[in-house]
Amino acid sequence: MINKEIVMKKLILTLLLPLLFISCSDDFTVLGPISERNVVNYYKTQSDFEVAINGAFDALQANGTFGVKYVLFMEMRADNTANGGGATGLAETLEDIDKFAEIPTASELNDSWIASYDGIARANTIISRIDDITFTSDDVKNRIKGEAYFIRSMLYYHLAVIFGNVPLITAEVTAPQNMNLNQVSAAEVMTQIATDLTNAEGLLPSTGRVSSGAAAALLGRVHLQAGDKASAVAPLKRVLSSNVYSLEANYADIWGPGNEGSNEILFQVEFMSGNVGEGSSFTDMFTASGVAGGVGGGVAPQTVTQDFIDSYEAGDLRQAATLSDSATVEKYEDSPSSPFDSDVNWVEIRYAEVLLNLAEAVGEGAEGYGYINQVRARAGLAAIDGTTPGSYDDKLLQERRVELAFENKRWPDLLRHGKAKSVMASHLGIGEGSVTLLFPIPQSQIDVAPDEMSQNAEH
Amino acid sequence: MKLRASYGVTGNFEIPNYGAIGLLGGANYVDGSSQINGVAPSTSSNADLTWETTYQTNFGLDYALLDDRIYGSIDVYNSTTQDLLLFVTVPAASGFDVALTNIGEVENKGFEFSLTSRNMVGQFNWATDFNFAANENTVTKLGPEGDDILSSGVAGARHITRIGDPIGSYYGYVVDGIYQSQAEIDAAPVDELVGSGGARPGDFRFKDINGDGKITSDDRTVTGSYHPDYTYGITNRFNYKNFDLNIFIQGVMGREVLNLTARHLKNGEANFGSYAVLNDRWRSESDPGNGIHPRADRRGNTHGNNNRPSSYQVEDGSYLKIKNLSFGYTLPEDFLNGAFSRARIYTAMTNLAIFTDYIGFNPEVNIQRNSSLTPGQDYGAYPLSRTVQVGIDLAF
Repeated sequence: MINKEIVMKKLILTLLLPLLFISCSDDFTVLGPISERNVVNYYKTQSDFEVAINGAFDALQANGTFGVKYVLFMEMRADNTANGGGATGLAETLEDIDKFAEIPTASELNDSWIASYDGIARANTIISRIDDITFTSDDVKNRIKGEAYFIRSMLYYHLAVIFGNVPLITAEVTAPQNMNLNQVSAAEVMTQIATDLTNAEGLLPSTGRVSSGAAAALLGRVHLQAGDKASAVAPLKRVLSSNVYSLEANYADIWGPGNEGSNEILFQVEFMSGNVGEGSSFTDMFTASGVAGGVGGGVAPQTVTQDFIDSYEAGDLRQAATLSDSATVEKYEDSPSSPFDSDVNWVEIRYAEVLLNLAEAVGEGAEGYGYINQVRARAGLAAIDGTTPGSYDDKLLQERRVELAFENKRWPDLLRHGKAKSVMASHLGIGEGSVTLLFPIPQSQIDVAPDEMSQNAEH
Repeated sequence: MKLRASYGVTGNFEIPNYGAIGLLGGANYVDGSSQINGVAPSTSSNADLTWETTYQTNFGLDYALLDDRIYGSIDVYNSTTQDLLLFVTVPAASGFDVALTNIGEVENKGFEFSLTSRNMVGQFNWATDFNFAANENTVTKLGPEGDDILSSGVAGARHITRIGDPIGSYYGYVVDGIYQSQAEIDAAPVDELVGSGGARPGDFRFKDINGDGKITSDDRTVTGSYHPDYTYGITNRFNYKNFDLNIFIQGVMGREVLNLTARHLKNGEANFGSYAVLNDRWRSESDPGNGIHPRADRRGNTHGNNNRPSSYQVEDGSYLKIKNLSFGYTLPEDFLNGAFSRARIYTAMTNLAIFTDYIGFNPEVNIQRNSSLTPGQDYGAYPLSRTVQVGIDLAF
């Protein structure tokens, strides 16, 4: 009997002993569902991050970003294209954007705001978490981190140009209901972008879907847009000296499904057809062969203005590559079988832009004309120099207009050169006072936090 | 006569499974000509999420009068719900649209009265059940700083939840008549929400709520609520010999419905067929219609912007409805020599008739049932069906 009691006591002690060493940590009580991917059990391994960064790229395809809305705000807003959808029903608000008549409740504004910040949040989640994770390859870790910085910078650049003073969020938001919105000036946003892109350039490989050259090129563009020409020179020259990129011999070969590997392209948002939700709408928006009707129908159809057609010099090879005989845009030609399912990528940064940006950064002189003339030579045009009529700025702006037509560069060009008001007022036949340089911050984003958010000064 | 008093605390833990933990969803991208897997957060996290708690006090009185010919009860109650569990709109700069949050406190004060009266007894029986309820819903606390919550309906913010008003009240501009002439427009406060073409005679005049001499987003206010002032129901039961008749009438008073279908059918743009009430629209200064409906205008957004969220889309949703009516005849016991222990022929009708000023199909509509912040919306909701049954009830 006694023996049995001792055995029992020992047994109980042995069973209870381990409990001394157990305590409940957060890891024990905060359990994520094992049936669904979630923020607790994901972002733990290299392969998790390899998939998550693709999710951040996905935000660039969105209708609210490069998919449709950035075309409306960066291209249609200016004088190269006009809304071709008529002026009734839903197309009315597109016409409002074209004519500087949009109101803060326009859904296009909110859609773009939401989609842009969605992509920024995806990048922020990666940036906030990646440092604590051990990767099997540091190269992969650096690449993913660099890509996240690049995506965030690309989206913030658009937000700053479109809306001006916007919230600057640079870390994962874990409690959206109590977040600090940190609405800052466009200049502060640009400063943050410059820091991020400098980091990204050091982390990224020399080639790839985002290269160190792409980060340097965007950094140069951002410095220019922020009015800092001097700082733009060095990063743009690093792109040239990397010898990775060059002008495509034939201008028309930059776009289209067969040309995605062109050496001229520094960065493109990729799309593919096949009805898997990865197609683009550019063929439908710009060309006559779009399924939704293209120009004259479909989503946000873009018609080319007479003003733009007339701006080509005689003999410019780019004209035939850019415009069809019926003056629709050739750059995004494809043969999609259903609406919004074109194979055409969005070419966002290419070598010709780098050259023209550098020409702008270094200012008038033999060097600057040299960069412009590289671009002109491919177009079959004679070189220009200081004796060519017109100011350097005007000549540069004209070259950019025809070289980078329908690539979302015209509106920021007009803004940067201080020409937006005069050019658009005469183009539309309205007063300069009606030409607003920023789009209104969406009313619903002010409504949700009226104490922290204010409308920009333009509205 | 009996007096009752009770106090209770109940919890609502209807938090979705793992509601505190942000989930990820597929977000694929493209590499050359193949699709590659991607994921991205789809819902936000909230580590502080907890259940909501309701504290309710109730006083009641059960009564019976005149040898139980009249009996019923009277109740008054006051319930306070704390840590209200709601999906609230959050700044999109967070990367999310909504977040599940314990956001505030709501008070429900109410009064309920019921009465059953056996009006006539004997060969002809007539009994009446009557009930009446009034409830007042008031938001008493919101968030750490008491900020208003605006909730989207269709096309922008349509609801407000703010301290002192019922939860999910309608929010928008107030229509203050119709401009009859250009002179009236020129004299009115500058409306910053009109389109590029400006307002024209026949467009709405909106009210300058804060009196600053212009119409801006600050002039939005509460334009109504789905919470009714009171509801009632009356059932009358009649029996005479083998005949029986039951009529149930139900009513709601002081409720408004947010008719979002009106955005399309009452906006005067005629993109679709319109409500017939637009026959009384403003046509000219000499033919101003009934003063309620603005002019027809294909391009309303570029002119007076009549279709903005406003009191025009908020409609009276009070109604009286004959919800059920049944009429039966029980056959005599010797019917078919007593082959059946009971045989009854009857007809029963539901939703027989409704009396309301509401222009849509059904003033009981509430399309966003999952969110208590956006009650009372009608956006193409189906009408109620009326059913008529005729039957024979046989028991062996």
